[in-house]
Amino acid sequence: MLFDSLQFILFYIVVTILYFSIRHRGRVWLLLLASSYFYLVFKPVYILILLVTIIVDYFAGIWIAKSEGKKRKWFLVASLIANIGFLAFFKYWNFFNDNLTNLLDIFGMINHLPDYETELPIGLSFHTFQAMSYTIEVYRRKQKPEKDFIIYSLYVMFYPQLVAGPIERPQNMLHQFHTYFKYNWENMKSGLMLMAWGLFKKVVISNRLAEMVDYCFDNPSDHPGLTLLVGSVFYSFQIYCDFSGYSDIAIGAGRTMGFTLMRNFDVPYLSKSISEFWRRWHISLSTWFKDYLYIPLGGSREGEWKFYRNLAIVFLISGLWHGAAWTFIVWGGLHAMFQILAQLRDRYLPFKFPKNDFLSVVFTFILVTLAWVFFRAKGMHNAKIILTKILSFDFFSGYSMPYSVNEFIFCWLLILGLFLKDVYAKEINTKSSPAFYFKFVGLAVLCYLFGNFSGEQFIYFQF
Amino acid sequence: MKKALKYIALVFFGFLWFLGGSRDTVVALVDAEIIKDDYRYGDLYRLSNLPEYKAEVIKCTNSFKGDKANVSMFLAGDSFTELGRVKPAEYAASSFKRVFVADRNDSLVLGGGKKILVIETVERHLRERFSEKPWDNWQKLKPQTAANEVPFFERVSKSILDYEVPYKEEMSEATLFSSDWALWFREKKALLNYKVFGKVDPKVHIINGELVYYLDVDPGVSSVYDEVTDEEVSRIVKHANLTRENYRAMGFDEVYLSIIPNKTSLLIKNDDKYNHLLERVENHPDLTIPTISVWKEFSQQNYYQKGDSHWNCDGQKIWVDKVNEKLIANN
Repeated sequence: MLFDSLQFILFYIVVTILYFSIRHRGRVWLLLLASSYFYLVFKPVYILILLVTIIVDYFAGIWIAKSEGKKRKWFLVASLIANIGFLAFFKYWNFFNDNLTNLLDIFGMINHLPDYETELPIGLSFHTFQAMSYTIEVYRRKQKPEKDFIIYSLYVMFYPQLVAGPIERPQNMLHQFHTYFKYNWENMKSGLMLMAWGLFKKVVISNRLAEMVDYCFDNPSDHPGLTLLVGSVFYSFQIYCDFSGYSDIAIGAGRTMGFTLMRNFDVPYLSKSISEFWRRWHISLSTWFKDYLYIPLGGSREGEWKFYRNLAIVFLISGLWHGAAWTFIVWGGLHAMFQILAQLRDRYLPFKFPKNDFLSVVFTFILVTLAWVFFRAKGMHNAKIILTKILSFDFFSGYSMPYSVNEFIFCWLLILGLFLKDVYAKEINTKSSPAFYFKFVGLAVLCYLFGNFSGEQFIYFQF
Repeated sequence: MKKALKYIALVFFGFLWFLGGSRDTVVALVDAEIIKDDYRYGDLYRLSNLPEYKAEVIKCTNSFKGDKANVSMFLAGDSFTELGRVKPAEYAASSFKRVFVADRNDSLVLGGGKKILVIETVERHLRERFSEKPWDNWQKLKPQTAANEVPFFERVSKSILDYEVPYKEEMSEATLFSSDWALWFREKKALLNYKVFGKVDPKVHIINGELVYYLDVDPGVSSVYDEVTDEEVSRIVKHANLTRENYRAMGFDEVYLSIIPNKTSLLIKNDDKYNHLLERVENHPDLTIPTISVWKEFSQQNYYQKGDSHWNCDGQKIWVDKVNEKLIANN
């Protein structure tokens, strides 16, 4: 079910009214059933995967807590294998198999492993990571095992963040499912406002920019450098509005029912460095990698070169997490490289660059945008075409776009508006006042008038 | 009071949600005139909401007068011949059965008497239906034997894999947004986007001041601008002829092919980029399957509705009369 569909609006209203009409235990059941329905709408059969991982992790959590020594470790390993196993099969099997075929081909050998025609279960990487964080936290004794199977299931399946995060931690969520939240008008207002803002970012900004992005990235060889440059810049904002819009709706929907979900974005395009960008972009994933991969690898504590190695590992795996393709690995690799180069610059350059916040923000944005090209391009060849045309400054051989001039100007105005909002009103004031209602109704009207309800999926659903 | 409002809202939105999963209820509510038919101003207007193209779709009330021919007519028809558009009473056949041309029908029972098969397809889907192979969507009902019975496990796993949650967004949309007051808002949005951005719904285009369906124009196999080689036209003709042979062998006395021109084709018939698919097939020297053609009449006058991609009552009558001529000739 898409957040920008009428189906979701009706679903959300009905579930929320029911939620505040019943007692606590009933609420847990209601949310679990509603979340199951929410997931079933995409592709019903894949709920079986969720069911299996829920059962495995639920018992793994209990057994890990009960046991000591090696046994404890084995239960964790079994849980991780089950979770990563599904990911490996559905997301990475064909990719690794294809690469193995190519590799063996070089040596004149034949790969006999079959490819499987499977559709990637929606949100698999998200709920798998959330489930893994539970067993790891129980293993680390930072979280007690959840005895209530229904509540544990809800922890994995809570509909607002089931298919595209934020990837939550058990410490933040499990106790909330045990809590009885009374209806609170302030939560309702701020949740609805956040949802309206998220919807605006998705249907007005992201879906509109998507036209230019698709136009450029579908056939990049047909377009001159300037067109591709604009397309790439638009993609930076498209993916931001798409994903942060989704997160806002998720957080807002949770908030209206009393739940607090973690913040996932913090004006990332105002970052002054790539490492700062990763503290502001998809925070729930970057902290996941930090807690469960980067720090266990040694983080920055075991010497300079191990620090660089750890950065590279984390970002290459982060790239692979996003998709089973070389373009994603390169994208992750670029982000690692940018950070390592920044470290080397700070350590070894005999002079310091003069600090200028504005230029740092612009430079970081340029790097992020260039890296996004790999993220969005259909294959390495297309990414190469786009970057070659942009970096050779082929900006005077013409320009084309799928918009009228008015719409093109409107797109830039939207981007400007987004910036101004992020800079001057990071949090929308939800104090009851005529201005609040004006803003809420205004957003709803703008969504209606300028929204493109194309039924397109959110970009991050594919991960 | 608050509680009462809460439960009223719950029932109201719950019912709207339920309607999204129950087409039958929506149809019943439309029939009872509780909900307005969202196609009442045409399928293209429904997509575009541009007031300029708003014109009530007139339900045709023709019916065949005279003695019906003693033939069974089997119609594999496109949207032009949907039962809501062309009633069985309009045909001169004593018996009539229609199945959507793109659907499979594996339970064809022919019965006695003369049997006529009419395959009616809109021009835009002709290539999809005849380029690769003869049209073979209808098959005779096979007696159930152990050999062709699907194993239990396969049946169950297929039904699990194929299961879909019953919900159609357009059902809820039709319920909520098809009344005249809702259309007023939709028209304002459509006009604003058209005037300011020159933008219409991506499923429609405006050509020579007329609203047309996107599939006719957007790049792809159904586009009127998509180049069709002579070799492909010959293949379509060969497959159409084979279709006739196959269905005659199956027990039909005659098989007719009727290609309904796209609204767009008639608007751009003199355009160099138009692929002239329909004319090239109908006038191909090797074509042996008899055709029921309305190209000549339709190219002389506009027989399409303003906000719809289908014919008006006059256009429909021209086609039905031609079909009836064939039916009577086969009597």
